[in-house]
Amino acid sequence: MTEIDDLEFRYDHDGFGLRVSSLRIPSGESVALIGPSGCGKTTLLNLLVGVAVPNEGNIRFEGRELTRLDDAARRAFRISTVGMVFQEFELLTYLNVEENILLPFLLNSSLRLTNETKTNASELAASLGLETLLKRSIDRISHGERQRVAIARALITNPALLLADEPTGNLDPASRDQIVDLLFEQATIRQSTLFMATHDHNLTDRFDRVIDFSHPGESGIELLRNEPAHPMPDVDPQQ
Amino acid sequence: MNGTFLLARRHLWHHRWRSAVLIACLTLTILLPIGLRIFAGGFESRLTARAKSTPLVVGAAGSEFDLALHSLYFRAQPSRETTISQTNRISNGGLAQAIPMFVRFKAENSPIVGTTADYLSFRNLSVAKGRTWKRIGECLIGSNVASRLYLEPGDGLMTEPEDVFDLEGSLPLKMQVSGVLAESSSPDDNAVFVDMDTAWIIAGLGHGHASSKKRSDSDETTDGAELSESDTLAHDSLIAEYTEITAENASSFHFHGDRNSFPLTAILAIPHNEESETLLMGRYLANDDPAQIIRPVEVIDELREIVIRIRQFFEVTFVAMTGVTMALLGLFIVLSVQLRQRDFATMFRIGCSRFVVLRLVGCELMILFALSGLVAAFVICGLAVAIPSFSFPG
Repeated sequence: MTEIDDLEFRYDHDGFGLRVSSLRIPSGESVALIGPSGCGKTTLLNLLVGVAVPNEGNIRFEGRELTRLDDAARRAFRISTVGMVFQEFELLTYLNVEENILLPFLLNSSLRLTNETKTNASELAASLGLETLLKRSIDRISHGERQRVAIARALITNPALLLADEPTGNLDPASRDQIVDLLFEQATIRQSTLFMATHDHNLTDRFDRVIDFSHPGESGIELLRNEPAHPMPDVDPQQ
Repeated sequence: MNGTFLLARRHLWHHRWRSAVLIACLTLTILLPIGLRIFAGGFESRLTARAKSTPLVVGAAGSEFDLALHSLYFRAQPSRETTISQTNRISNGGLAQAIPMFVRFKAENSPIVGTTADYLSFRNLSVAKGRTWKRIGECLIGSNVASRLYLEPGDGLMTEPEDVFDLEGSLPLKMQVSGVLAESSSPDDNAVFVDMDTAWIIAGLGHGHASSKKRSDSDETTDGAELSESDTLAHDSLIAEYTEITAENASSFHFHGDRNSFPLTAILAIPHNEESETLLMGRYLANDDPAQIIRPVEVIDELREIVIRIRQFFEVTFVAMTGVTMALLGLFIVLSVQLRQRDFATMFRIGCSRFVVLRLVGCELMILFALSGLVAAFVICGLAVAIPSFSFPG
């Protein structure tokens, strides 16, 4: 269960933020966050994984109080529990497909990179249709294939919480449908809770729940500034 | 750490040309000061070692540096020459052993050192192949000369004319190699040794009933045209190209004039003890003395000081250059980190700490420095092997 109570978050630089009075998402559910750019979808995702820290209120995942965790514990939470997929894929171009999938293991000493992990990565890649591309450079695969690699990287740790921030934004309609299918399929296999931020209203029927940031009152989310002067900035890793 | 190392390696390889430029800059920064220190240190120690083993040198008054470099390394040519009478002045006093040296000519770019067998004993030079000279016209060659010119005992070696435009000068002498000296890792390895009479014959002071020969393509001389049987050598400038001293004509060679006035370029003086050395030095104190005596070690020390000052100047330059390189490297790292902010943000989002980012950048720097150090070491070793004269003052 993902629980949010009396949460309030504001960016220091422009005062934009959001307030969530109460939100309960049972484990294994899929949730769509829809709304225009800059309405707070990415901010909510960042709060859910501990990249952004709320000014007030609580976020709990499976009973674990995220807001009380220190930096190291929040990082450990992200490593062990969260898989993230981004609109721009955010793959490292100097690594090949296999190394990008294994990136969480390469970067975190708490995850042991074993032969079993490599086998898992190969199997995962095969299930996503990437088995022939494992040694290929990221520069030499299509956008759709890159997003599959990003999904594989998010899934390699078997996360209980799968977050996708507009994962189909850079894809053609055919690739978009494939990617959404894959995300649902993999989330179902792993019984992961799926949060997906998207502009695409056509996808909403597929989700168990939809949080529409265009109608904040109905969703229990209150925007602290309805029309931000400019789009939301990327999260600062120094935070 | 293995993962970080892999990421660092992959990143450097992905930007391989940029990495190569960085490695080249760092290699130069490492190579220049260390290389200079190693080679200058080796040069200085070898320079001093040869000078230390040579107590005193007598020569014509003039530049001390020229006399020291000439007598030790056969390099500089003193502006004036002394005479064989100076050897008598040294040895007659019973203060020191005198070893004459006459080094004016060359054979195939190697200096011809006219001296006595005492020189070989003094420098601990032993014959590796063949034997020492027994008659005029024979020579002993250093090991480097033998390997460079592929010469063996019994082969011929031609002297070079002092001045190719001096048509009235003496003809080149074809010497016979009697032996090859064992390697001594000293300038002697690059020299050709002859006895004093041969050296003076090369200088044109002696002559005999010699046959002047025509040099054929194969350098065969046995059947060369005999041009003269008279006491004085007659040369046909169209045909005669060199002189050869053989066992048959050696006895006919002779010198005219006062032998005491025959030239020497230097005399090594080996005093019997410290007192003899002091007394001998005292004999050359007069300002109008046409000869001078030097302690090579003192002269070389002066030279070393100059070398050290030049080295210090370069070292200061290298420190500045290192500072500039490090500043540029720092700038490069800052710009590189800024360009990779997006990568680092992704790493942070998937749970990586800032420490890992620092470790990644540190690992890349470590690889760059390690490769640069490796390249620098290879270059230094390569230079030492490929350019032995760079590390040896010969």
